[in-house]
Amino acid sequence: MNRPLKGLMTMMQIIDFDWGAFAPSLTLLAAALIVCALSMGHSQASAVRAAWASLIGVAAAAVLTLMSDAPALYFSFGAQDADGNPIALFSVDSMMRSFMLICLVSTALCILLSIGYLRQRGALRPEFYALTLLCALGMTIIAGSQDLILIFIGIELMSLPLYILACFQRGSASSEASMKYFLLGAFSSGFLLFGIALIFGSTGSTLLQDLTGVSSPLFAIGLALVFVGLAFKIAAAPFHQWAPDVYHGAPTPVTAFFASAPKAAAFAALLYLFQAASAMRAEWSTIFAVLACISMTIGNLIALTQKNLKRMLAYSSVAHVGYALVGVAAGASESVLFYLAAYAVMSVGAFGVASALSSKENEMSELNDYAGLGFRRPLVGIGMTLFMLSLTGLPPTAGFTGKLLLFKDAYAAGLGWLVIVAALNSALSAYYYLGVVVKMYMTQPSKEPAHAPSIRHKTAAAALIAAAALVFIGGAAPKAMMNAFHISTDAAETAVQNVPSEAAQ
Amino acid sequence: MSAWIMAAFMLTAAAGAVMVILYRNPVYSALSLVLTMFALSAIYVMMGAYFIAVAQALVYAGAIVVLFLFVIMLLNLRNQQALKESFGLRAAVGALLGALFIGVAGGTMWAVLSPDQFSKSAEVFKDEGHTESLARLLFKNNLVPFEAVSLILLAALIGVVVLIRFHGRPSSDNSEESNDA
Repeated sequence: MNRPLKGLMTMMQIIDFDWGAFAPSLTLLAAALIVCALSMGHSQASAVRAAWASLIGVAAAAVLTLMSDAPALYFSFGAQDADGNPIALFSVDSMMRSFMLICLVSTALCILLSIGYLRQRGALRPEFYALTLLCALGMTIIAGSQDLILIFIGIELMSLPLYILACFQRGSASSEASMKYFLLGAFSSGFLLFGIALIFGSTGSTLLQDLTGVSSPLFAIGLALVFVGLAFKIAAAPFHQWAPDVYHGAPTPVTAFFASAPKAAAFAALLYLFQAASAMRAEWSTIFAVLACISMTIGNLIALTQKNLKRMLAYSSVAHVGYALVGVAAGASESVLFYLAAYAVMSVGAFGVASALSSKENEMSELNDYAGLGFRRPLVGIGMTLFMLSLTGLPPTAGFTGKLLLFKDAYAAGLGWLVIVAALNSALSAYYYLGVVVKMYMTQPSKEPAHAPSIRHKTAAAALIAAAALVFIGGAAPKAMMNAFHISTDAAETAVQNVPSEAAQ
Repeated sequence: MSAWIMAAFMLTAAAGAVMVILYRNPVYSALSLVLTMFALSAIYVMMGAYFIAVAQALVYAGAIVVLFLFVIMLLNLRNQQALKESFGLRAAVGALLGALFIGVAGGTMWAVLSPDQFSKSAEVFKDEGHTESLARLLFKNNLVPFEAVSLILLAALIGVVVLIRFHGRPSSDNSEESNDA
């Protein structure tokens, strides 16, 4: 029953510390501290400097992660168990690198989007970038954690800056979004912490490796509470109520950030815990399958009725969390990773179009704002169409490849009914995603504006081009995208085989 | 005997927590929180964790809740209607879910845990002093998480600066916009 956790028991190499393995995280930390120092400046120029410094920091961390291909290493930071053997608190392996890359790429894109948006509104502050970097640092902590305490600290380090980023725009909607996010975030952290306490109470350890094979009622309740806390963080239905209001009220580049990087990081914690809790794998798998089903259906059905683009994309993100949970239920971590990467770039792209086109007078968040835009701004129209096709899951986009991989793995894991539900949901979602395309190309605006909204900032344009390129590469050359995100291509098959054999036992 | 005293303190802690959410006057709520904190501290004493007990009383009851009280008094929340919420369907569903959770989790703990487990923890600290074993945990096995907490504090600090600089002065709206143009 004691199945190795990511090959942990068989050949685990635990060392104290290694500068090379931590180079990306330390780069991020250094950048965060430098930007904090820059925050002392008050002028617009220091804010721009902070923005570029943070972008360079994130890019350097991403490049360092991309280039490293050392074997899996486990770190104890000097921690020892009662017998004096080192214990693994942190891991640096390919999965950690994939999660880091997903988070760093979406963080970089959102930094690019934010510069023009915030400057236009007189809200360009160096603190914005200090908080973004600290948030990214929290994500890297989650991505490598092998210990529940570290996971919790990572989640808090990630969440706290998010609450403040949500209110970076003056106005009651932004403040309300921030307050709502803060209260529900604190509430979900309570679930997480209580769950961790119960897990510690039943196993006497907070290490993920000690959770394999444990099956006691107290442990099950603790794990369920932790999962509820994480479900709040990823906004899976029925824990999604905060998402539409927060996504709607927050500044659009921040919304793009919310939908991509923090979600992927919370999924990392979810996947690690799911892998670690091997004893009741079949039961947890069923629970996640049901959660996926509810999330997809509720998200898509409510998204159908939305007239506001940001709210619609918020409900669509609830639905996409559902698709990714299909992969979690199937135990297919590689395809979940690919889907998260694909969703991160396509949602940043979709929110990014709204963010780049918006001006101080027109937030571009209503669907009607996009009427007739396809012909007046052809490039923007093509980009938005690509993102919408990807969100629907049509080729040749990353969204299509991601869904294909997920459905294949879920079917192989014996979750045929869930694949059917997911496919029906995808068909349903086509109505409102393609509705945006129809709006752009087949309708005329009710009153012709003097000049159509356009992209005014080169940085935002660069972010959109990068996102569109990634979405296209993910569809046309999935192998290239997998290699770029350190997702091992051959492991996709082996990961699937775990669940049925576990269920058979 | 000690199990009964322990149970009494636990009930006091729970009662204090319930009072925090039931009182409409925020000052009473904060004072109920003091009650909970002291009861928790007494539980720690009975488990032999003297240092944590003292820290709990000093830091939470002594400093944090007093800070709450200061803030409440500075805000001058005279209007107690502000904290009043109608007992609607939402509250009923919430209460039902809460009761369900307490029933399931409490029932399981009741079934799994036994009273002598609480006295066991006192034996852990017998060989070496309690502060020593606490320091060992904090500065050896959990050193990196402990240091990582400082980053959370940094984030909170920057957050406070943002909220004050940015949201505290609505009148500065115009000056900043003119800077931009």
